[in-house]
Amino acid sequence: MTAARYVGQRVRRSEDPALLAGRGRFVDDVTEPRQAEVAFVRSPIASGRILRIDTSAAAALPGVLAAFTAADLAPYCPGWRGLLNWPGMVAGEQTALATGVVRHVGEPVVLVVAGSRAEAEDAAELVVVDYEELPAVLDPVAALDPDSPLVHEDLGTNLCFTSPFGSGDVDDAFARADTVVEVAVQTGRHTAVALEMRGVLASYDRDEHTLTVRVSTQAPQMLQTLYARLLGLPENAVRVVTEHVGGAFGMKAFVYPDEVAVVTASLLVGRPLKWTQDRYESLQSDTQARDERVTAALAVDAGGRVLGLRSEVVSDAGAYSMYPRGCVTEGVQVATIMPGPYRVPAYASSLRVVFTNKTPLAVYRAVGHPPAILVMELLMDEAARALGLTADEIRRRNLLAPADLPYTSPTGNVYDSGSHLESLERALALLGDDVGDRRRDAERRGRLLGVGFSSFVELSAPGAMFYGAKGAPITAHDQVEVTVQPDGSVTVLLGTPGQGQGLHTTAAQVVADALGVRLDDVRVVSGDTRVVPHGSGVWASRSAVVSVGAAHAAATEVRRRLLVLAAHLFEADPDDVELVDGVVGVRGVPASRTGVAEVAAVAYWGTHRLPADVEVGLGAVGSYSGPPYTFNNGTHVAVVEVERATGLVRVVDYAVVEDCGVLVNPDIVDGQIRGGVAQGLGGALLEHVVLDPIGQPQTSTLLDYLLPTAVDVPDIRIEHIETPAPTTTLGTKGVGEAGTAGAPAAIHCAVNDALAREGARVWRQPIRPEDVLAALTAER
Amino acid sequence: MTRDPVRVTLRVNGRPETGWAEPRTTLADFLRQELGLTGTHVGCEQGVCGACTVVLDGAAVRSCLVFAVQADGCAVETVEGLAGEGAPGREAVHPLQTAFREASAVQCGFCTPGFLMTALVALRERDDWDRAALRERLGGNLCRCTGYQTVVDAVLAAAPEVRALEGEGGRR
Repeated sequence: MTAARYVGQRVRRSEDPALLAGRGRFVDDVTEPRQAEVAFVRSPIASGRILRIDTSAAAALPGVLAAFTAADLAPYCPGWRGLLNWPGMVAGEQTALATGVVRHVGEPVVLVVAGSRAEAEDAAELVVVDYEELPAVLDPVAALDPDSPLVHEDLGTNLCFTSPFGSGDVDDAFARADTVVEVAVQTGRHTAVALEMRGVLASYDRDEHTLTVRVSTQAPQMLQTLYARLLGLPENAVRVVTEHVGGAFGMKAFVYPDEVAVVTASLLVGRPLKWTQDRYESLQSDTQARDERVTAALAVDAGGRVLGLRSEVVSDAGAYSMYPRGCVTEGVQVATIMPGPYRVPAYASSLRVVFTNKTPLAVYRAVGHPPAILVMELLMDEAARALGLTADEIRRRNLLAPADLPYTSPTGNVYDSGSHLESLERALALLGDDVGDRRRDAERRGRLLGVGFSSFVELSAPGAMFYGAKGAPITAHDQVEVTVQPDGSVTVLLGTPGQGQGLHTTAAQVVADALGVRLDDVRVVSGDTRVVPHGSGVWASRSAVVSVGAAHAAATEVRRRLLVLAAHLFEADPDDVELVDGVVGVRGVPASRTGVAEVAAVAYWGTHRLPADVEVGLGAVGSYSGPPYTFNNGTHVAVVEVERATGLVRVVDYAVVEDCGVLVNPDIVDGQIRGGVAQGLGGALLEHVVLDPIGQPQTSTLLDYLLPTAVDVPDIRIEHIETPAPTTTLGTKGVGEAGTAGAPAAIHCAVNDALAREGARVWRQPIRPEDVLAALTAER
Repeated sequence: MTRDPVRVTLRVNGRPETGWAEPRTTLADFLRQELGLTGTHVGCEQGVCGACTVVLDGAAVRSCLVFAVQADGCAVETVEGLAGEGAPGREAVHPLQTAFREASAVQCGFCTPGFLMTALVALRERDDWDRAALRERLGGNLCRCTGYQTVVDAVLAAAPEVRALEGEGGRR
């Protein structure tokens, strides 16, 4: 292959011009002829039986085409369970519209179709639903009491899944410990808040018997398979189209009941149906995350070296296990990621995942990592305080060094490479040596300054076993088709679509280098299952590993075939033909130069010049599955100021040292890190889905559910260490979730560093001003 | 209250436009559905996220909080009018759009039109924003992808050129 010309460069994104011009094509931007619109009637209560539904007044309203209940859709679309093959896991049935019982506020109950959204909403207001309200299950610990009401009567329990994790003799480790520290930590339920809300535009062709669904999703092929299964259609009759996606963050990787209801209704109504979610619906029905209660203990020797770790995790799954990723992944990752980048000889964890009458909990950017890393880093700091060590020194004594690699964690995760210790030292250098001055300056302004570290590993590209072996239609591989057109321009069909992170640009860089052509000659297409090859979707931090691997494989094969063709034209040996910067020639024969376009023209329109046994055309599909998993690593350092009078926390400085292997496009990588840190900051300080004592959401607008603004997020300094992954095509590791993984711990540790000067600490996220004041007051 | 559509006439990006709107129709929905200008995005309909920001008679407003009928007779600027006319293959680009691309200030792009219109008005007011003040000014627009730093970089980078451009051509 030729030297990298584009990989590693800060290439401008090909996605940007349309988005900057206001010519993006998000689902709601597209209108079909004779399109009708949908509004939902949703459950206003957390738990209850549906006694009666009367849609007659709604149906009679001018402009209304239909009003469907569960009974109307059931003959065409059966229910499903979000079960994965975790031993002993149970899950209740979910249907497109609530069937007999409602289990969380916001569950869709009736679907109304009208000529416009406004008319559909008018009609929805006329639907009458009588409920027998039942006591709601809202506390996941109390939900395990044998006397607790059940979220799903047929399951006979609220316990969805329980399992131990870990290895080594933990009892012995704690018996030998010089010091044991314990924490009890709770992270607040939050949600992705993609700025583009979910939406569907579904059209059923009654002549061709084909279904086209335009949907804002991370996984078009997965939805193609699942829509076909649910509706009894052959997969070649289902086309899923996804163009621009306005953020997703894991939340758009599921089969949502409301979306399935719209798709099913489109078959019945016989007109294209559009549903665009509003924010009120989003905050009730998008999957939520991070609702974790963890108690943990760390055993260390007199030198601060970790001997053993224990944790108990209670994960609040909400009302349903969402298909197909299910509700246990977050809890499992909290338990299994916790040992992180440290040498932990013995670890025992117990996990319980519990159903409650809340919006379903599922995967959200960095799945489980933020609570896991938070708990471990808080334990490190408590141990340091107990032993009189600095926060960096205790980490230095426990972080994996190059000689420790490859390292198998006590939960079986293999770290094949990394810079765990080096990332800490580089972060310290980024922090600088003026912390004492900064602390005194803050004191003069009535503020406590704190510094917090977060050293972590992030599971970035899970392999085939991760979901596939658990029975979910989620593979680890991707396919990419690369075609050199007759004029030498290149078309790349990506199996996996982008969701805003610049995957088209990244793939084009890889293909241009592998083929030896100019970046401007490469055009990337994704998101139409009728056009592109198979892809598993955008999830975890996998695209830089898996999509890049598939793109490289396809381009390499096309290049090989192009050189074979050229060899025939030059009457040379293929091994002697080279392709550099779009020019093909015989090595050492300057007169033999020709362009890719000239060779490509022969491949399509000049095949009479070729022997019969040469494969014509210049397209190939590349596949790539990747290793069982890749881990990136890094260290974040946060500096916060805590205002004594108000308890307000401000992040005043933030630095990241990240090692995600080889960088394809440093600007795109930095964007992932900065945006990830912003989401982590939100979780640490602001974002919280608040329910009242009967399960009513108190955060129904973005005025109540607080997102970080430009005022809250500081400028973030980033340094990269590039330790190539030994197991991936280009040495990439993936980075999409790393910022979100590390930030909550760094910020929380910084707050506790500030408060510890007054003998105080906080143990819950988000860290609200009132919690800080209460902690400071209690110590006075 | 009547729901009968009424005629709304306004100038959009310098051109006269006429359409029909129910009194309850927001300016955002009118622009998107009646005029087909889908660059103005609706992210919350609660006046919080700023994605639907347009310029109404010179002021940056949330078009989800303005009824179309209230904008009757007004001049509206949307993201589609930012760059002016180009030619096929040679699309016109506004300095703010160039700066956003150069600074990597776009990821999913859903919030971007709102930021561009907020920034446009901010830069018409003054071109000597300091970082902290500009962050306050952009604080009414939510972005879930970028962490804002590159957006701030882009607006500051575009300031001199936007100021020069606005000085030449004046406001639409």
